[in-house]
Amino acid sequence: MEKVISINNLSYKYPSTDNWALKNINLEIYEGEYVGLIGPNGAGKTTLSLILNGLIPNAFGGELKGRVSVCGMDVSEHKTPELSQNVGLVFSDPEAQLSQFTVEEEVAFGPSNLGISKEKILENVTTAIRATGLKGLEGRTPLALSGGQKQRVAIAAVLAMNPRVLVLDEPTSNLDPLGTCEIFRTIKEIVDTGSFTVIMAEHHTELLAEYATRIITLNAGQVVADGPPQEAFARCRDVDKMGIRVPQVTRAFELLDENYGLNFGNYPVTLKTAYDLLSKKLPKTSLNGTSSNRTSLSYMKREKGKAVIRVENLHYWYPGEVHALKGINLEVRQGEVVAIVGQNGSGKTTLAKHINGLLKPSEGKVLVKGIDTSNSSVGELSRIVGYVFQNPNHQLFNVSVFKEVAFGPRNLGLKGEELERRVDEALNAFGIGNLKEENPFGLSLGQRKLVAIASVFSMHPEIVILDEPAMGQDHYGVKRIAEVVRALSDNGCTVMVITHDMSFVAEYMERVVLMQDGRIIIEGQPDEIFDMASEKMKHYLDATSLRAPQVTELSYLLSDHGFCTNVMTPTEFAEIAHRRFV
Amino acid sequence: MSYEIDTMYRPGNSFFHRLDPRTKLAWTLGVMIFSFLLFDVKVLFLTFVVSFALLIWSTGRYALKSLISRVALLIAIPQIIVHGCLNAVGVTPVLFMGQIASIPFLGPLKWEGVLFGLTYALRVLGMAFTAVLFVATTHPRDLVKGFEKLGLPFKYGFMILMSLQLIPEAIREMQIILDAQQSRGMRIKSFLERMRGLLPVLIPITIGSMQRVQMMSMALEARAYGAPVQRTELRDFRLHKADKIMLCAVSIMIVIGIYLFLWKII
Repeated sequence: MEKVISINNLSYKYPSTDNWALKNINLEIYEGEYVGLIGPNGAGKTTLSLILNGLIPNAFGGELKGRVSVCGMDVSEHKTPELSQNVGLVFSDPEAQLSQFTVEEEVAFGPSNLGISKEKILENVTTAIRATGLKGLEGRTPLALSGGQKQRVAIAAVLAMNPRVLVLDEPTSNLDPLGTCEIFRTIKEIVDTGSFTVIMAEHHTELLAEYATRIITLNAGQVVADGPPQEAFARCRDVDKMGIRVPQVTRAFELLDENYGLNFGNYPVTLKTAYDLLSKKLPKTSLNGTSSNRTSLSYMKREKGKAVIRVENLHYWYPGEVHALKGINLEVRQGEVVAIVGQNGSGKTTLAKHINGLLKPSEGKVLVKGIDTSNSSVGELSRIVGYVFQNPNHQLFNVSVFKEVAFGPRNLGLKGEELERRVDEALNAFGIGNLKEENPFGLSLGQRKLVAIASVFSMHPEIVILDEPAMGQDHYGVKRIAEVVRALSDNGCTVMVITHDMSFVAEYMERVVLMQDGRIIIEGQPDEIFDMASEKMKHYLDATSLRAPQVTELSYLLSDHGFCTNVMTPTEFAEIAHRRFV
Repeated sequence: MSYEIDTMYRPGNSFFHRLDPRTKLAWTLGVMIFSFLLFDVKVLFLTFVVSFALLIWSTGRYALKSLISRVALLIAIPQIIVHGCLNAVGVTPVLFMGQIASIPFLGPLKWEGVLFGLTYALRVLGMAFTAVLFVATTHPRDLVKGFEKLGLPFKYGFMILMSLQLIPEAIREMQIILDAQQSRGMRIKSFLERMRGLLPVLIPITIGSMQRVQMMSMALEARAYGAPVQRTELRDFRLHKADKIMLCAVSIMIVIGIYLFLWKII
């Protein structure tokens, strides 16, 4: 096979920084490979992606050592527009990549810039639109499409330039589960044509393990592992420590090995291989093993109080007559930890905004601690309900973390020592007391998120709403959010989390509210909602295109072999598997 | 939530919609020049009727719903009364049911003044309707492409179109930030509170826009924007038969206008 990318002794340093963002990287990538690029935030995934089409060093400057050649072109000797004929680069924010008025014009933009003939452009555009499944949407405004569709337009837009290499920098990190699936499916189809090489930086390791042919692990600017998926996740513990999520099935087999001494050779990395392995080893049985090891997080055992949120027959129309909520009834009790899940556009955020009064019901009622939100302002409600927005950049504006966290309590009229005490308490609750004097804009995304949460918590709300807290964060960041939920609950808060992360829901949430098309279609405990043995639940999961956690799916597949169908975590799975073997 | 950019363009497939943007621009300029050259009630009544008819024909009810039309009406109609009462040309009083028509505070209406005001109003309305006709039947992209055909560098045209895209995006972002800060107890009821609320909203939006612009410029470069070759234009405009007829009409109109103006026939 032909070599398309070769990187020799590459090191790179951004201008006016002291640390090398990439250190001594050597890689060779061949035609037709589907390479997954994994690593925690800050490992250098984006930097490497930008080097491959010459944006680094051409647009960024900085110091580049070593040699990078893509399809025979040295990136430091050619400009990005030239390199872009060989390398198509797709970014994570779909909106920032769209600039035209229709899908067709958007896709044609790149090839037009190359100045090739009109007939050839139209041919490329048609091919690219077909390859990304966008047929029928050619005349639509790109910005009005769904997240997954927008990202597919962005992919089509670079495909139309006929590149040989497609580089995608976290293409799904701003998408809902449906959009994420769309992208992985589209990329798979593109790879299957055999004429492209794909390099994809991603946090969804379970999907990468399934689709990619090779996985390169980056950590602190260095390549720490490079090989087929089985190898990449072989040493789970190390991978996990780096801040990379290990596929759940792999984690389960590692636990079997470590806790119970059961080793079946290489840990499987996909659902299919795990199933094949266990279904061969275990005889069929009608027995159903259940686990005693259900996650028993401290807050789940706590006695719940009275209802603090009561939503009665809530309807909401956005201006322009979009019927966003269609008769919501919901009760949340004091101290509960509740997840709201569903695809984008199902009404999750609209519902949450009713609870702190940002939106007022068109019909029906929302009562927060007995207060009708229609009759009270957001300011008044902010004493009771804290709302942490998805993107911390929408909240932070002060020059120090202290001032940032003090902003809310100050609005409530707190001053002096009392104020100081509140801020310290909030910072300590999330373990960021040491950042008190830092400038929030100099912090990492994960730290900024914590500051944003602390700045809401310092107002002592009784209810905290977290909107997509894990968006754009790596595995380490997700674990930190779990800690935040625990800390909030320990401090007596009722917590509502809007999230797309089903394994997070299964492990840390007490109750799940599943929304679709402006309605709550079902609610219950995670082990009820994800129980695929129940026809009803399976139907709801299919209808909303949500997938149960990987170990839950595995134990469902193995239900003929003595597994209960509502396993929620790898730990639980390992325990049941072990008992089946004894 | 609206993702469509709110311009004055009204999609359609009328005769005017199909014309080349350059033709439409020429027509618009032609009517303007014509209206400025001649200050005569009969001529301006004619331009008014023609431009209003064209607008109704091309955009239907939007003709009177457009903001420009409404502002123009608001300016034009009072002219009749103001000039009617106050303009010094007026001598003959207007009789209404045998009585001299008089406006409170302004005094009696006079024929010559009313005529002057009417002429003025017709000029304003004729030009306004023609302007609405232009923007309502030309997609902003075609408008810019038209200017590019006339020599505007692609870079500047692109910049104009990009900012059209960025404005609704920035407004949406601002709403989110406003919501986020209000959720932290920020009040925006009184003027003082609004002033105090400026920074918490402006800083995040400025930083956000800068990040977005950086992202966009990277994404554009990755799609060969600025490649040192001649761009291929997919939507190329050519002057069709209708365009040529319209351009002839515009030329004739201007020639007649200049002729009448120079020989002071009217």
